[in-house]
Amino acid sequence: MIVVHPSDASTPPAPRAEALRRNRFTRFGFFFLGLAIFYAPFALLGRLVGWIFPASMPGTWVPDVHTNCMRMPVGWLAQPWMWGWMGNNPLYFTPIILLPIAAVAAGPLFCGWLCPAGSFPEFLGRIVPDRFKWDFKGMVEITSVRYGFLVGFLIVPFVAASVCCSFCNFTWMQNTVSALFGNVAPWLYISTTGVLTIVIWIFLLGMFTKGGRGWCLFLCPAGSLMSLASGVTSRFKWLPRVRHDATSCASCSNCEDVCPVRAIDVSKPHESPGAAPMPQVKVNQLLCNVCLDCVRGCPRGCLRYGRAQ
Amino acid sequence: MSISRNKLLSFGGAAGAIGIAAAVARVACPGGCPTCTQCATHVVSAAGSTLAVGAALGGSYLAKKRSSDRSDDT
Ligand code: SF4
Ligand code: SF4
Ligand code: SF4
Repeated sequence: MIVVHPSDASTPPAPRAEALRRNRFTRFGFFFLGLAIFYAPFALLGRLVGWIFPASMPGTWVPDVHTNCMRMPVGWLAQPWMWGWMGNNPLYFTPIILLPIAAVAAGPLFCGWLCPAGSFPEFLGRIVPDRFKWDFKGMVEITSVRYGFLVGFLIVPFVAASVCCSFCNFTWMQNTVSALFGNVAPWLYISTTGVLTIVIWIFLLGMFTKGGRGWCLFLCPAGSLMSLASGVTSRFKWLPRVRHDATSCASCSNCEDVCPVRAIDVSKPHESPGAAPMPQVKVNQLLCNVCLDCVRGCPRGCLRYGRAQ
Repeated sequence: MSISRNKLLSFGGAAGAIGIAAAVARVACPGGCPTCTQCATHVVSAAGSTLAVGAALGGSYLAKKRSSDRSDDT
């Protein structure tokens, strides 16, 4: 194995553009798989659960994204008086039990690969040049605001209020898919919060935010819960996460640049006195959604998805 | 490991801002259910929540900027 020491790297290596493009293209394929699984007119998961449990909500409703709601069950975690509702629909356990357990086992793969509502603004954002975008990294404490919102989301029911349904990006993803399949009625039902949701989700925190995942970062309780589960367990070295090996890292910052959730910090060894001799690349596991763009794009192969060595 | 003041402020600001916005919406909503999107007073809820998100991000930005200005001075 050839080990390139950072000091040997006089010019930054070129990113592996082809591998990165292929990864993004594959994720784009998963976007359609996510639509088929969760969103009407297909809603395959809802149909399957409705077929297995005919008396449950997915069996008695026409399944769509609401059958596998990702927001209300998270809010109900702090509302014992709502727990009875859980019995109506086995899919209500998906965002609060199944996906957090999956995130512990393998990272929040759902967010990086299978959630159309999260990747839609990210993909749309590729048509907007970066110079027109906000980059929240360095501007705000992303992690703190993210989890502050989650706590706020959980405590609002105690002032007899809720922000579950009024600001729901999943509903607007469903409305968009329905409109594409000929049912435009939901899209034409324009409400104040609906308009604001679209503006914030698609534009302000989507296409005009670097990475396109501002909504995921700041306003999605389900994503925050999965990332929390993944982040706090990431110190167990045997659990697969995105890991960095500094041996051959060139501090090129390509990984930092391509990360949709702004989870990577690269500090060059000479930046601060007393810094470690190797470049420091920190992957914030409380933000990373395991999309693997950084892994595929790293020109030196220093990032990988797996156990810590 | 210490948690920085900025992080605490940003965390508390985001949590508090959403809580306050939702409480305002609760008071403004005549039906007592600020989760629906059907009544006109929902404008209050929507504006409140949007301002809350803006305030949380803006507050975090200012806290971070102030502390980086301070560290530049020293
Ligand atoms: S954070 Fe929420 S909207 Fe974003 S990908 Fe995850 S579940 Fe979907
Ligand atoms: S880990 Fe990041 S900074 Fe290091 S070589 Fe790879 S892309 Fe460049
Ligand atoms: S750190 Fe890498 S795998 Fe994680 S979200 Fe960022 S680019 Fe994707």
